[in-house]
Amino acid sequence: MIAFYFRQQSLKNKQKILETEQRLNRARMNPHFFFNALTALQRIAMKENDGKALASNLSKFSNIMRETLESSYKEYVTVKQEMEFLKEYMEIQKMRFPQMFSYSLMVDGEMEPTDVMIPSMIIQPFIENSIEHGFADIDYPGEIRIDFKQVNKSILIEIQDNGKGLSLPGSKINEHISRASQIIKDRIYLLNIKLKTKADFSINNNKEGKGVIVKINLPLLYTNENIAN
Amino acid sequence: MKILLIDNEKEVRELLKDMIEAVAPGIHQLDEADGVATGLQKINAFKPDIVFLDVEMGDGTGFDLMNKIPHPSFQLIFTTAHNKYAVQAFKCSAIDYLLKPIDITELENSLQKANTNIDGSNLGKQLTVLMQQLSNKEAGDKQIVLKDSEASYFVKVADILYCEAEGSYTKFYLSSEKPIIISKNLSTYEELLGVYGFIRTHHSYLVNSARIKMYDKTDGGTLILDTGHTVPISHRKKDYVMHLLENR
Repeated sequence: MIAFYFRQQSLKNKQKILETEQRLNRARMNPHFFFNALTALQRIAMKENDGKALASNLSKFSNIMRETLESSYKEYVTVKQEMEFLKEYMEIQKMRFPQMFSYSLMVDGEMEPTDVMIPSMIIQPFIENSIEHGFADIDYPGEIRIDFKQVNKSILIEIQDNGKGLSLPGSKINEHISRASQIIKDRIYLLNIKLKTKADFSINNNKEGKGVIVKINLPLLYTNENIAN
Repeated sequence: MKILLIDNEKEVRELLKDMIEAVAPGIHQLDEADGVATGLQKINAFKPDIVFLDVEMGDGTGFDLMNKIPHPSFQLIFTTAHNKYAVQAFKCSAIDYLLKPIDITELENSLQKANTNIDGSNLGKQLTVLMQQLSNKEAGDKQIVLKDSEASYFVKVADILYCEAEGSYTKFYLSSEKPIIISKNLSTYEELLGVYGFIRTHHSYLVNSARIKMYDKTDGGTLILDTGHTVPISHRKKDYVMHLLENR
């Protein structure tokens, strides 16, 4: 009986540690992104007479920063919030790499983006990976597709790019994607423990063409549901 | 001054250009590269004096690039959004490490540091060449011909004490005869006699270092020759001359 109690305690502790680490990971998402984005803003400030471009990019930048900072205590966001965040994130990245890529964000007809919740900050690391590594050095226009679908009682998120794809084990590009996959792996582990669900994800080279395809399978959670935050 | 900007983001290269132009307008020749491979090519072709180098780029890191250049002949300044690479950067003998977003005052300081180093190493090279010449070449019985309107004089290099500029003419002071005035400027003879250990100590004076007996510190510095003649040293050249004499 006592042994059982202690084991439960130690499992609980382990979970707590994981949660804390997760929070930290989210909060310090990728400081270099902010500094690189600020450098691009600096360039606009130095060069252009167009104060409007600077002002509009500054507000996109602030939104990303706000979302990132808030995500350290906000575990879930609505699909709509996530889409807006990703859009602004990709717009800022386009400011850094103007000709590099285009993107699309789609929600299928079944889903009401304001009503459905997903864990925050699990998609962005993959997008970052596509832009900064998958598209580095390619000589064709990059494309990122993000699709949110509702399938029965679950949400399927697909993130596809047409970049260099996963290469041989141990190469630099895999190092980066492994960071993204570690973040989502921990989040899904916690989600499954807490909500007794069977969320999972996969990362593969796109069989139909170039690039990587990430599939994330999450339980359908509504905003009015009481999710322990 | 040739400056090469290596960064995978075009906007950052443009920013660096604008900033360099803002702090040091018009004096630089700029070129750019967007990665490790192109950076290496440009370093070989453009032969920059200063390189601004990003760390994380599409086809590798700035360190990958520097690993391929064992003896860089340029001043290296890293530019990156990460502060974790500083130690590694200075191991590559970087003279500075600028964090993005870039502080324009820090950029200006780095450029000044680079310029100072370049001047220093140029002077160093000149000194080495000159010291080699001093040790290898003995004036010995070498003669030069000095022609004026009336005659040609065959003068032993060792007999020349010093030369003085008089407008576009040069006046030769010899140990035995009276001075000879030649209608060529002092720079011509600086070039000709430099290999025999003649030192330009002053705008108007070129002196045969073999004939220097002592250095008199009074009156801002004068050289006294073995014949008792005195030759001034300009304030600007003092360190340079002293260095040469000490290493004679």
